[in-house]
Amino acid sequence: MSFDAIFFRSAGARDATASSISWASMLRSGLGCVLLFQTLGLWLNLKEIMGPGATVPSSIAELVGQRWEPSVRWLTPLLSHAGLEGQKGYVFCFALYTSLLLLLIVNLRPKLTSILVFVLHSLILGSSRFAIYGIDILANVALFYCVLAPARVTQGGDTVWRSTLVLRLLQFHMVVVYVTSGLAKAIGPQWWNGGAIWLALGMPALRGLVDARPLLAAFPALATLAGVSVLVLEIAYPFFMLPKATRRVWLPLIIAMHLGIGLFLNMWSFALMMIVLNVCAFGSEYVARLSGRLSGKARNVREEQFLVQGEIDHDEHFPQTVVG
Amino acid sequence: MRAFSPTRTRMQLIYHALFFTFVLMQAALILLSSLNQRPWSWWKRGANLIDAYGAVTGTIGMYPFFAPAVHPQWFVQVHAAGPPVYDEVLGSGLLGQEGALKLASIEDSFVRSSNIPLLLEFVSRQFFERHPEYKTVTITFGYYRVPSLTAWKHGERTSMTKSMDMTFQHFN
Repeated sequence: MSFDAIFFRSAGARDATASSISWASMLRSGLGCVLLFQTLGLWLNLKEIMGPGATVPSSIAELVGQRWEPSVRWLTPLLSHAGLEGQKGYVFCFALYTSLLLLLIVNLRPKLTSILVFVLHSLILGSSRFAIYGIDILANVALFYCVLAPARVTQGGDTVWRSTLVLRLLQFHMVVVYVTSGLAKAIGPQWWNGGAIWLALGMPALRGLVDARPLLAAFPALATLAGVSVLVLEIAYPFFMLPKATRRVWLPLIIAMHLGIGLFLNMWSFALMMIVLNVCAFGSEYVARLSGRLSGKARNVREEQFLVQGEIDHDEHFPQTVVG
Repeated sequence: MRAFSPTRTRMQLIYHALFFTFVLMQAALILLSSLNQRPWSWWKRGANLIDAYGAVTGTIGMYPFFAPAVHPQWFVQVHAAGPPVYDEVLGSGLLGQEGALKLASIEDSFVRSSNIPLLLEFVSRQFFERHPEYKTVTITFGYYRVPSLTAWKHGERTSMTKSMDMTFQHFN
């Protein structure tokens, strides 16, 4: 099998071309929305999380990190010069980060915005090192893919190839995330007997919109079922997400699992982040088709119809189409 | 596909070969780090460089979310003798869920690194900065004990279990 066939034809020409055109812009917009949602939540308690008066002062968090690890400390001379000392400097960085997220959402100057958001996100994480949890790790990963992916994909141009390659890398990363997470859970007994679900639901910090404990108390088997389902969904992720035939079933199941995390554990930003990553990595084709139909823009739909019908000279039909 | 047409220049081919190699190396880093493997560790300076690159770009990392077990949630309680008596669980005054999750992560970080006394000291420092009228504060650290499903059915609810407390004094 040729190189071309492995990376473009194996998953179907339609998948490779149509998805790779839009997945990066979808990722930038979706990620921007999720991070803005998280950031707005953090604004309410910023002085507790970051800055000299935080529960763990940022100077300590910055000191603990390696010298090469980015943090707001890197900008201190510049910020002091501008009269932004102490908490003001941290607030300024956070405000800049929030504003750039808006630009990321609208895909304005996508490459430059992605790089700036990625850098600022890294600086902020470095200064609030002890407060990092799942969403921050995955946001870092996702932002790096936003930086790697081409800003715009021109039909028939080299960017299609590069975009598809980065998409394949993102898909591989998602597979690694789910499989390792699933296997790590499977080691202990808690996820097999439903104890993990029960304990998570009982934590005051994870009290969701819906309290599922009365239901689980009435039907204890539900906790076991939920725990085992999580294991199956995560460990079998590559076997059902990579083939297109089963992806149509597995992707909604994965999304449902993350909606459950949001609804029952109140971890909405984490849940939405995982949904965005999954949809962009494996479901951008469906979203593009849906939005094409909804917006009535015949171009993308027509393009897909041509590709479904068979081999066409893409550039002959769509000369130099630029899709953001 | 047009991208592989013979009209492509040599420079483009070199660029694509380099990009392809880069992507392959990224994939290798992702896979090896998820298995907690560092085959580059023998290479002293290079190893640090790879670690730094991997950490900054998110290429190196493990993803044990809630695994292998769900750990209890910790709490830090601040108590100062009055008047008026000050009694508050750290984070109870936070407005958003995101702040509460971040605070839980901070507590978890200090437990994992076995530095709970240091965390309590930070909390006391923050308390005295905000409430200079108090001279003594007692900070209690503990965890929320979630009852078993059966016990919950019999009316038992999540309770706070103390594991350590420290008293701090403020001198002007």
